[in-house]
Amino acid sequence: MTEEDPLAFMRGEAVPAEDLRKREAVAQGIAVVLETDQNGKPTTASEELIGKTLELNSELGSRVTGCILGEKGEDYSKSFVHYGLDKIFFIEKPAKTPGQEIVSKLQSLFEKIKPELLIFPDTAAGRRMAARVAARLGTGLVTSVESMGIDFNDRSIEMTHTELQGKMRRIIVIREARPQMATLAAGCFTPARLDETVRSPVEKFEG
Amino acid sequence: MKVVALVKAVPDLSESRYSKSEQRIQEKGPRLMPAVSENVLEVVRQIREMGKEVSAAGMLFGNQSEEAILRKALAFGLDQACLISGATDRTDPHVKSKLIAKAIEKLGVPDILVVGGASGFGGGGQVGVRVAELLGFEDVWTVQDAVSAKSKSVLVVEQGSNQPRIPNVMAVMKAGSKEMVMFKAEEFLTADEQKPVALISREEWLA
Repeated sequence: MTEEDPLAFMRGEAVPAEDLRKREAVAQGIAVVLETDQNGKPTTASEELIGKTLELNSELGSRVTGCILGEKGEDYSKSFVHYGLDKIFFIEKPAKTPGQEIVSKLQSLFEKIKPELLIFPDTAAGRRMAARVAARLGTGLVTSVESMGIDFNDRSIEMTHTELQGKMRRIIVIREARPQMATLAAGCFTPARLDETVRSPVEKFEG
Repeated sequence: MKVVALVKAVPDLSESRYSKSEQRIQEKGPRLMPAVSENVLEVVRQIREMGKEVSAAGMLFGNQSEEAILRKALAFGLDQACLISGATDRTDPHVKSKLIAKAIEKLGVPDILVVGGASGFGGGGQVGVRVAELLGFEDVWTVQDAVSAKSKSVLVVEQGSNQPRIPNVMAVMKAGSKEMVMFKAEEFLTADEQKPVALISREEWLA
C-alpha cells in the first residue's frame, strides 16, 4: 500500500464469481453510499450510516470508503471529508441520468474496490438502488437493518430487522457471497461526529 | 402491449405459530395474497384502461398450493398466470428473482413490469426491483410514463397507493377457465444455482 494509491491493497486479479474463497480473499473493507439533503449537506441518516460503518470497521480492522452520487458530486463530497472515512469517491450524476447508467457505474466502482460489506441508506431510492446493485453483483441484500453484529469466524455480519409490522425480529447472515449488502434503517444507529482534524481524500470515479 | 405483474404470497399470521426451540416461525395453512399485490393488480387494470391493447400476465414463485392466489389475480383482470414452484428456499430474494426473470424470458419479455414494494414480510420489496434489473428495465414513476415509455419499464407499486377494485362474481368465475402456466424451478436453475446466499440465522417472536 502506498500513499499515492491507498486502494492498491484492495485490488486483485479478476475473481470468478463461482470461486467464493478466492473472492472472499480479496473482499476487504466497507463501502457506504451516502445521501445528501437538497443543499448537498449530509443527512442525519447518512451520519448514522457513517457512525455504524466506522464502529464496525474498528472491529474488522479494515477501511471505509464513502460513495457520493449527485449532480454536484464534488461539492457534496466536501461536506463528508471530516468524518474519518479513509476515502471518498464521487460519481457525477446529471439530472435525468438513466438509472441503469448509475447502477453500471456503482457496479464498476464496487468491482474495483471489492468491499466485504456494502451499505446503502434505507430510503425508497436507496433500497431500489441497492436491490439493483445486488442483482448485478449476484449477492444478498438485507433491507431496513436495525442492528448489526460480527461473526468473527468468517467476518460475516449478523443483520437484524423486524417484519410483520414489528411482530417478528429476523436475523440474517450472508455467508455464501461477497459483498454482503444492507440498507440501514434511520434512527437506529449513533451518528458520526465531525472531526475537523481529519480530512478524507476525495476522488472522482469515472466508471 | 404486454404487461407482467409480479404477485406475492405471504404467510397467514392467524394460523402461523412460533417455535421457541427452533427459533423459527412455523407456517400453517395456505399463504395469502398481501394487500400490496392488490395494488399491483389495480395498476395493471389502469394500464389497460389507458386505451392500448394490453395482454397481462401474473407471475408468482411459490408452492403449487398457491395456485389459488393466482386464480384470484386472474379475477382482477389478467389474461394469463404463471406459477414457478420448487424446493428452493423462499426467503432468498437473490434466487427468487433469478427464477422469476428466467420464467419471464421464457414467457416473452413484456413492455411493462409491475411489481410490489414491501409487503411487510420478507426482503422489503427487493425481488421485483432485482427482476427489473436482471431484465434491463428502467424505473418509471407513473402509469402514464410506463405506457408512453420508449424502453422497457418497471413500475414499483407501494402498498396503499391506490384503491383496488375488487372483482365481481362474474370475473371470479371467468378466472377459473383462464390459462395457468406451470414451471418448475429446476427448468431454469441447477440445484447449485438455487442455493440461497442470505440465510436466516434465527427468528424472534416479539408479539
